[in-house]
Amino acid sequence: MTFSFIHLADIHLGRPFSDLPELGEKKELCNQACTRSFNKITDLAISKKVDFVLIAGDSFDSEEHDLSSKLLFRENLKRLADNGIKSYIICGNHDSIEVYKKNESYFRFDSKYDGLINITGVNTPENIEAYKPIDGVNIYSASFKSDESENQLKYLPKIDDKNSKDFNIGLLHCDLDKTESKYAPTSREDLRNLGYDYYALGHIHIPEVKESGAVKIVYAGSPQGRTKKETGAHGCYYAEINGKTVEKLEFIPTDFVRFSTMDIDCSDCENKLDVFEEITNSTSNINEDAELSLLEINLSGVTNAYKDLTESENLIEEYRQNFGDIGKTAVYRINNDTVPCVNESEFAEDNGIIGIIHRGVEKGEINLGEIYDNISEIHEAIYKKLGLDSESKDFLTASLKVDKEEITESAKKEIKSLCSEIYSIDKV
Amino acid sequence: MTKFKISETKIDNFNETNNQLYTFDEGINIICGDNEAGKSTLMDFVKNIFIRKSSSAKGYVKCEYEGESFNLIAGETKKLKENEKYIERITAHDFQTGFVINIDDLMFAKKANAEELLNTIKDSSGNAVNQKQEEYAALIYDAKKQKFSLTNSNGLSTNFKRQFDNLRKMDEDIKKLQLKEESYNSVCQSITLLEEDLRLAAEKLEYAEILFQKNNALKEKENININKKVLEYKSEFDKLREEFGALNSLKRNEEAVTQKIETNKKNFDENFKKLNRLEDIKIEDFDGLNLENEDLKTGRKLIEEEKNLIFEQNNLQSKTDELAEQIDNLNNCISSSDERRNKLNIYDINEYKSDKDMLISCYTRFSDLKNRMSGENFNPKQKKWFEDMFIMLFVILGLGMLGSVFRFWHSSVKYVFISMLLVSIVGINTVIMQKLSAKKQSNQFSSDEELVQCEKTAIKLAKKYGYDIQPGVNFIVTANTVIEKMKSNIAEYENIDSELLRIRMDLERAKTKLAENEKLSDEITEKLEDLAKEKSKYLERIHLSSTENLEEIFELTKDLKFTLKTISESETDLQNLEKNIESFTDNLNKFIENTGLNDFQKYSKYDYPKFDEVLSKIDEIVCGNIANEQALSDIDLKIQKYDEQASVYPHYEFEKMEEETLNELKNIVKSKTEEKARLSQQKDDLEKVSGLYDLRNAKNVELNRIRLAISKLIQKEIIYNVIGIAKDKFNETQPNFVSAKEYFSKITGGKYSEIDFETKTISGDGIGDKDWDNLSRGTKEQLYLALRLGYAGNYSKDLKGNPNGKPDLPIIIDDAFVNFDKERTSAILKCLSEFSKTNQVLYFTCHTDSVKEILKNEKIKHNYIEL
Repeated sequence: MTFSFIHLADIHLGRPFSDLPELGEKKELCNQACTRSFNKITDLAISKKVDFVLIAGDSFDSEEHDLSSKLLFRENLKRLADNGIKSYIICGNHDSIEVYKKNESYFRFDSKYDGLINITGVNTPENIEAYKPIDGVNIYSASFKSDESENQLKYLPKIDDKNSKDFNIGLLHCDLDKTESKYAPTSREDLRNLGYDYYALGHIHIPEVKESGAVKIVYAGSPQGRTKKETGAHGCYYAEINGKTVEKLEFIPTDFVRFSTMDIDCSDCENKLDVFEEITNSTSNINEDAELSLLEINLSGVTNAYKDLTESENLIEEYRQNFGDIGKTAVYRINNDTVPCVNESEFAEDNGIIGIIHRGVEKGEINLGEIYDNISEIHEAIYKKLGLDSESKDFLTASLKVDKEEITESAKKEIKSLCSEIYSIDKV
Repeated sequence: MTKFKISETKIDNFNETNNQLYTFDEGINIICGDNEAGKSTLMDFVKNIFIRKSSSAKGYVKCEYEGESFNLIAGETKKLKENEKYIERITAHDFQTGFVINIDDLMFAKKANAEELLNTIKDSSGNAVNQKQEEYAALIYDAKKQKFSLTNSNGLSTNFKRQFDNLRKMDEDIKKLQLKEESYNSVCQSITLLEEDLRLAAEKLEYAEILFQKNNALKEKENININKKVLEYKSEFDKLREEFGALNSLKRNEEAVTQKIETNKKNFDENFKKLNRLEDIKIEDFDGLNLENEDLKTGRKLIEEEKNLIFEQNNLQSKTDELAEQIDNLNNCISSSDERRNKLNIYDINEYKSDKDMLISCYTRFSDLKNRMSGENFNPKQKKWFEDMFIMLFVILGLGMLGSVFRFWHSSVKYVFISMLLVSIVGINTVIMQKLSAKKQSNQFSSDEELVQCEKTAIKLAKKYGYDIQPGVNFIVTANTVIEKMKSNIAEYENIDSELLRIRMDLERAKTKLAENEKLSDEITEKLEDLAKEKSKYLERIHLSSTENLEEIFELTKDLKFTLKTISESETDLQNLEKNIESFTDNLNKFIENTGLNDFQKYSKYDYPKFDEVLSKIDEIVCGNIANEQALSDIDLKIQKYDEQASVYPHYEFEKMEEETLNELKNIVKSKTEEKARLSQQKDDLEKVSGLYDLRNAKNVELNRIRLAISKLIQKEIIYNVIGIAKDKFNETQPNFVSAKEYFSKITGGKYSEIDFETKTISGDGIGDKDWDNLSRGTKEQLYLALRLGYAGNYSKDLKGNPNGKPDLPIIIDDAFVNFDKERTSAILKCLSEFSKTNQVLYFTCHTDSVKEILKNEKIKHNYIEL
């Protein structure tokens, strides 16, 4: 018995790109990337004439309505079905059964699609379901009822004499190798004990074959990365099976926009312009096979350009306005981790305020973290008063926590630079 | 030991003071005296030395510092310069500004602003504390602080206000769009519900329409009346109509029929006469004259046969005549040919031929001999022939060579060439053979004798047949002529023979043919005779005398028969008409009676003219009943159909089934249909709605921008805070600041314990910050004094509080506390007493009593000097 399938997950339709500045013309590319990626996978399934498609949860980003996303999802499922390809979809923490039920009008399909489009828990009564797409193949699936879930393996059947000769697939949305997680924490041992041949997992956005032995445990990752944490190629997995053997398991990239990082040493740069030119020269050599490479630049090194860089109100916007993009690359973020050229020993022994500042910051007598916390408190209170929506408020409040270390480190560097500058002036 | 004390002062020649000696303690020295007692003189004298003011004064100030005792001499510049070695570290400026406090200073303090007050507290170098550094730090960060602050005195900074407003607007737009998209779900659900309502409403309407139509049909049915008897007797009525139609036709045609009868009779007479002209038939025999079509066919056949036979016979006859003529001609030809042949004088052709050959032989031999004798091997003819063959052979060979060169050896050309070649070769060979033969012949005759012999023979032979051959030189010519003649005769003879043969053969054939014709003619004659007999029988049968005019007779007879029939029928019709009218009338009355049509009377035959109208009326009634019957049937069918249609619907109850009810239901269906269309359009529009993703993206971008800006802001604030903290720390450790605070606390009796040099405020237990600018005069003066003491008391220390090589100078106070009340004065004196532990105090005052009292009450240890 030979057959093939495509395994994808975490499409997160409706989720916009995070951490992006104004990208001008390339904005549309980003806007369309997720849709195109999903369409590309559907086209792939049809061209390869696979027997079925597995979608391991989080097809939508949230229950907030994004009509075009839901229509797109529906149309692609119908397209697969019209080409005789069955689809098996489970619900994840972002698109739980609750979410689907609230949007049931989108997922009411004509009766001719019965058996072709299968959404566990939505067009089946239970959130745990077993399917038999073709003879000799079983799919055991588990959907999230709400945005959190316990380990669901206990609800899935173990392999016994009846189905041991079949090729058994587990379709799950879970957190692998985590004991404490709100999202179905699962261990590899549990999966192996269940005895299936292939575990089509979702939830983690980076594609990876976790186990490649007799039992395959695979995270498909998201078809299109959308934050700086989701670097590298994204896509889906294509598998060819013969009997009980996975003869081919191939990762196929389907992303159009790809995040990556680049470190640039600014030691030889005298000013911001030098740094920008260095960035431009470095990024022109990038060769990715995505239509657009989004680059996060990490500037490092002891450099005279430090002050210039830190005085910039918005470094990335300045860079983009003056230098723009080159070819398929777009710089979307510049992190200034450079260090000023200061001789700390000069003012380390200063008797005045500079000395106090330097010693206080270096030895921790002046606690930047505490200062940051105090400022954050004030800011949080202001955010609350501003009448912002909860998403913006949460984002900014969370940012205060996330950015603490970065900001305090930057402040520390800038203080040193300032001390050096003032000390020099004072001496003059 | 840094305390610099004045132990003794001698004033001479200064301000009308001469040779006055004063001694001082190292602590607080209270120099009291009324006005003009010399306080200012003493004070100025000491001050002038320290500030290096040159004067005419004499005297000295005896000082003790670092275990050394020395005099600072008053007087001119030179002398003051000598003091330098003792007071080089004490600048005049420092002393003046740091160690002399008078009422003017307090007046200044009263009016000074916070900055000016701050400037009074200098570090040991005489500079305002941290002036440079603070200045720079403040310059850099104060300005930036204003710029990057999340809030300002008016609330949220303009920059951030704008950004957050933008964010709020984006969020509102997103919410609007979400609402739109949210409504898609509800629209779909509404459509589903509405479709069901619409279906039910449409169903009810359809049911109502069926009922309505059924009701209408029932009403219609009630209005239909049928006379069943009329329908029952309909077929009778149809017959009546037919009958009447026929009667009417007859009636209408009565006159025409009569006329027709007359006309037919006339025609009959005429045609009969015609017939009689052709055949003598009596009218009484006419009936027996039955000419059928078959008779006509037979007659035609007989006539045709006769005609054909006669024609055939005539043909034969003409052919026979031709043959006879031909035979005559042939006989004539034979005679003529015989005659010609006879003229040739050839009685025996074989003999003639033999003689001719002999003659030729003689001639030939003669020629050969002659030629041989003349040296010619060939006769001219042979010679020409041979030449021709040779030329031909030459040409053929030439063509063959060309063919080889140009390769047109087509197979047919090849064969032709080979054939021609062979012919040439044969021709030449023949000539050669003839030559050889002639040569052989010449051996049989001797020369002259042979010649003569040939001549004789030839002449003899010619003469036999009446020809003349001349011997000698003309022999050949004449012989040749005779030979040609003889040949010609032979040919003629043979032609005539052939001709005769042919003629005889023709003659034979003609005779044979003639015999045949005659035989045929006899046969035809026989047939004609048979035919005549048959014809006779035929005529007898059909009662005619001859077949002449048969066609015409037949036609006439047929017409006459038909005319007779027509007349008979017409006459019968006329006769029957009366009867039929009577019969019809009876039937009509019977019909009326049976059907109960009481509107009609009983009719007689004389009412015939009315019958058309009557029948029309009855017809109307019948048709009407038929139509009604059909209508009833149709209605019943309709009602049945409505019942069937209604049976598939649920049973709806209606109060009344009228058009109004239908209209109401139609309106309901219409409004629901419109509503469905509207919702469907809304659904389609919503499906086209997009932009939520873009908005979210834009909002993300904006949020990140704000995040970045806030990061920058916080960074600046941290730096500012750090500098502030550092400044505070610095302030906390500045010895003069520390001392100033202590002194202030003492001076104010503990009321104010804190001086904030950053914010330029003072505070105390239970007392909030008070700006220096907003202090009362007295408090300001106290503050000022504290700052002065703070500075003066730390003149000998660096920023870390370590000795800087400078002395703790004595402080001269020139009745500065005149405006102080007792309490304040007491406090300041206590403070000065404390101060005097490190710095000698020379307090000049004219308020002797109050000061004395305070000193006593407070038990302040002092050195009292009364002037």
